[in-house]
Amino acid sequence: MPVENGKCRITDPPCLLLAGTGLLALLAIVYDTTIPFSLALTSLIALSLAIKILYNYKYIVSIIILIVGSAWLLTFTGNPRLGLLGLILTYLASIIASARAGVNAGLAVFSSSSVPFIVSFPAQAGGVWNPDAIRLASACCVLMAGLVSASLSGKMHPLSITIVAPLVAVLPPQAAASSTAIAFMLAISTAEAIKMVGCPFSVDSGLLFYGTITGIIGVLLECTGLNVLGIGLWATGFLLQLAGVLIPPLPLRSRAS
Amino acid sequence: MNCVKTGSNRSPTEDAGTQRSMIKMGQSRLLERIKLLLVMTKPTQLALLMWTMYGAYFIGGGSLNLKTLLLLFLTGLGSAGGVTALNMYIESDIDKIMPRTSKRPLPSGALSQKEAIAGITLLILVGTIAAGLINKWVMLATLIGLYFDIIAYTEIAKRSTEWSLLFGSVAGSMPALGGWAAATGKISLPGVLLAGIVYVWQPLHVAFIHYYYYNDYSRAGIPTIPGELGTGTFALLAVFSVIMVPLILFIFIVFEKYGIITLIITIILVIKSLRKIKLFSINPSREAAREMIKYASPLVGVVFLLLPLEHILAVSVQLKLLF
Repeated sequence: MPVENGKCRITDPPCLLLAGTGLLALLAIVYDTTIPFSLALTSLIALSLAIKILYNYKYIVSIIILIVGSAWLLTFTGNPRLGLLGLILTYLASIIASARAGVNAGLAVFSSSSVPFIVSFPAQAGGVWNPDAIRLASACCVLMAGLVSASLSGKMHPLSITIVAPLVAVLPPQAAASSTAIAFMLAISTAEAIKMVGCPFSVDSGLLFYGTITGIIGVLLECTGLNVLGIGLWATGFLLQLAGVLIPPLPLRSRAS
Repeated sequence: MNCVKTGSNRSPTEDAGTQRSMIKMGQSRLLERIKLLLVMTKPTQLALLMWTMYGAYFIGGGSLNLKTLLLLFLTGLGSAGGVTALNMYIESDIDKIMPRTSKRPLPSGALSQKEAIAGITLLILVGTIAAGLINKWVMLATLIGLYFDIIAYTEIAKRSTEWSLLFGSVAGSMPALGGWAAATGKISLPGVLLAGIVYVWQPLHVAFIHYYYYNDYSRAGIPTIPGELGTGTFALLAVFSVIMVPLILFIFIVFEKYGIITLIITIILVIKSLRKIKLFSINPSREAAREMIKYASPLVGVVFLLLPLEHILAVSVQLKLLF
């Protein structure tokens, strides 16, 4: 459903999905509080972003089916490595969707932010945080961040990233720090991607910069063991970064006047 | 700047004097910048948000612990104020177009973009840390506020749909939820209901402001409910909004077993507001909208003033019964 001049009514699917996003965020708060929450929030924000970028709910629905399917698979089998299957599917979907640059950017942002969320399902099973799953999440982030920059810049073949990703998965990195740092890389490359595909946003470098600084402080605190505060600042930083890449243009009417 | 001399033939006393005056100038410039930054937090609106936050804190049974009260103040100032300032930063292009907002620190050039964003980030950082030091639920409330105000409302919805205020209102209700979470250490139904009271009241208030400044919003190309849906539908929505306040308050009373006095006074205010809405729908005018803004504004303030008092009363009665 293409939206004319970026204008939509509350009954239109993008608006309903946006409202649903808020509701899901509230549910996420009620049922979960720590790391999966920040990942869930990230996914939900990315969903809003994707809706705005794509202007087309069909893509979103298909992506959601894909993501939920992968989540179900992971939860059902309890094997985080099966997440790779979801990754491959997402990767294939993005190649198919790359016929439209805007679609590719939206898809990449959404899926890259959602994959850690999926991985967090089995990782939290039994109340034990699974280091393997975290490594896998980090790998997923690398893969998707690479996918965004590679497919949009044309400087690197997406396949090279696909080879690098499993290497990260077998390394024993500082889990939270690595995955967060990668998420920041992703956000910055996304900003570039959005600029390149000419989506209806401008980028505010100041917000992006201070968002990154805030997020890094969060990561440092997280590494020193101050989890709640660390996650809070990480999420604040991420939100500021997103705000930095979503600066809206002036409405058409005011531009005309 | 005649106090600054160049050359190497200055005495040490002169150098020290120059240094002192430069430090003084720097300090006054910094103070001026801080004042401008505080203007960007919209102090009147911030005061009302703080009111709901402290109100919810005391309704939740919060103690007069100075440390918590100070942390709550920093949370409100940093998060609610910081997010409002960030909103103003993002919308400085629109503020330039609207006569009402063209004199704000950013469009008027009194504060540079760089200074503003550095100060705003610092404010938000202070707010998040203070919230985190209270408990994780308060911090979550601040994060939801940041998300809904900046991303969902300002950046995604405001310039494309007249229903944007439904997203913005979520952010406005978060201080109340944060206050409740600070007192109880959790997010529970009564806290959500308190936030709900602020949530349903806000569209009423904001939509009348939209009506009052309709020309400004129209010039900036921002869709508003009065502009897009017409006065009739707008008045109906206002009725719905105002009726929801005592209704949610009633549900709160069912769960918490106190608040009858607040409910009675709220119903009186609501009846008066409904009369004003009726007058507005018969003869819509800027003056009638202004009257309505005046009437609607104290509604939430009254709820968050009386309900804490009733809570204290209820607790003292319970204590008397116990002993």
